[in-house]
Amino acid sequence: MYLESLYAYLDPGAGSLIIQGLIAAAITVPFLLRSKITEALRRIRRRD
Amino acid sequence: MADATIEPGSYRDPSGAVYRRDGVLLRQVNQVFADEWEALRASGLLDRLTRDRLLVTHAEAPLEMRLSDDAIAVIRPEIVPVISYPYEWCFSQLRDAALLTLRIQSLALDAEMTLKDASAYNVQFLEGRPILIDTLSFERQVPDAPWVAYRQFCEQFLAPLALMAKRDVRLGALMRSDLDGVPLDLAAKLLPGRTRLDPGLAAHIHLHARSQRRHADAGATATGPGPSRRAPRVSSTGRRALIDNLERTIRTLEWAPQGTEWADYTEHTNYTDAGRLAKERIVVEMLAQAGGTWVWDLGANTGDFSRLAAALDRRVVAPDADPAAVERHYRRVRDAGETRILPLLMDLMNPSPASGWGVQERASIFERTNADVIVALALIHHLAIARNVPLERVSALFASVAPMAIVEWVPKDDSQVQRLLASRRDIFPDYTLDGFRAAFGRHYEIVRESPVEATARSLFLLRRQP
Repeated sequence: MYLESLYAYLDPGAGSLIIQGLIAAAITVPFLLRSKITEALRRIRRRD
Repeated sequence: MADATIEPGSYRDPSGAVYRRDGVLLRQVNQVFADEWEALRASGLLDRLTRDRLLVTHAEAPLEMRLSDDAIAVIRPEIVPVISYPYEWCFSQLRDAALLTLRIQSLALDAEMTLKDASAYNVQFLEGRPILIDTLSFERQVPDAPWVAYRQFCEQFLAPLALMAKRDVRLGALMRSDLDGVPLDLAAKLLPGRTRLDPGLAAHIHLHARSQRRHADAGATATGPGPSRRAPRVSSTGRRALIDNLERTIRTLEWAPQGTEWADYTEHTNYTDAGRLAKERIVVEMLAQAGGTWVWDLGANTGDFSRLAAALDRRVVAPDADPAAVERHYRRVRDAGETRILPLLMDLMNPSPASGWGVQERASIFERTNADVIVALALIHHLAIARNVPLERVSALFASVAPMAIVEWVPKDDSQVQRLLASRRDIFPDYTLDGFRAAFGRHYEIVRESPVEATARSLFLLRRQP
């Protein structure tokens, strides 16, 4: 992934991109887990 | 064809420009944006967003209406009658605008598109709700690319909201001093230390500010200079997780409008029920007599009289200087689904100036007014006595803004005026009913003067002199 491939007329900021990558990496698994649990609960409620 | 006038704030994005031709607001789509424009139209995202009233509609216009030869299309966006800026919004208005932006980004990701900017100035309030006005804010999502507008979102939405919620609501005014938003290092310094324990604020503001500082001199040291500069990879799930996390962080930010002097003002007026009813009846009669479409209810407080104007099917802009009063008013408007009233945060003693590039990028509040009628109830004594503004200057300002005015005269022996004079010398010999008539008579003719029963106050319906 190269910066030049992003059509950004704004300066996204190097530090902002880096921290975004780190935050996204850290929250992806909890996000997936929560999504799965929410979906499962929704299915159970629908069945009831 | 008539010359086009480019909107002063439309210069940053090379995708296209906003301009007026023959008084019609138009937007050109430039050649450089051609592929993205086609992809955006084919994605179905525009239809979805406009159908849900998240984005203004637009109509295609003939290419002959273009601004320059590199146009590939011209569109005619839906008009937003009153343009307001983020520093004129109360806490919940900015919060709702932030949530709208995240909702749109989420829908964009569903359509394999992304917001290429997240400017708070791209959101306006139309029919009581926030709406995106920048149709060209989208581009195709590059696989594994981070969100390029993340920094802008944090500076223009998250940082001011966090400061307003966690430190002091008046810090929203920082948006006025820096049009790019609140720098994150400043936000991190101003926020209370305990916000470092809030996972969302710790990540998106404190660590974000530290990362900016650490990499400030490295260009995109993301991994070196030149064509090989790398951006971190962010998976599609990571992008969704980021938007979800930002939304959760924003939703946890709350501000309860405390009982400031102004937010509770209507509960502490010296009006009896009979006096209040009489005042309402006269104001309604005067509004009907004044006609027009747009009413600016100056010092609207929580909007009791704005609602009377709206009930007459007027469109109302309701500025007030008190953040708590505007917050309460906005919540009332939003919760009631009222579409005709726009509460705004504005101090008449220091109204929004023109600012930005060439002092033209953002217009002053008076360049954006469209008032047919000014309503100034229980306001005149605060300007003349509390703030020393001569009555003639008040009259001149009102006359420069609207052709009709409804003004409440509050005499010196009124308990509210006596309260203002309690701790200062009375240096206002001209603050009399005759003085009021003389000062306003320089710019207006008095159409009607009605004493308010059970009070010593009077209401004036005024028509600007030709």
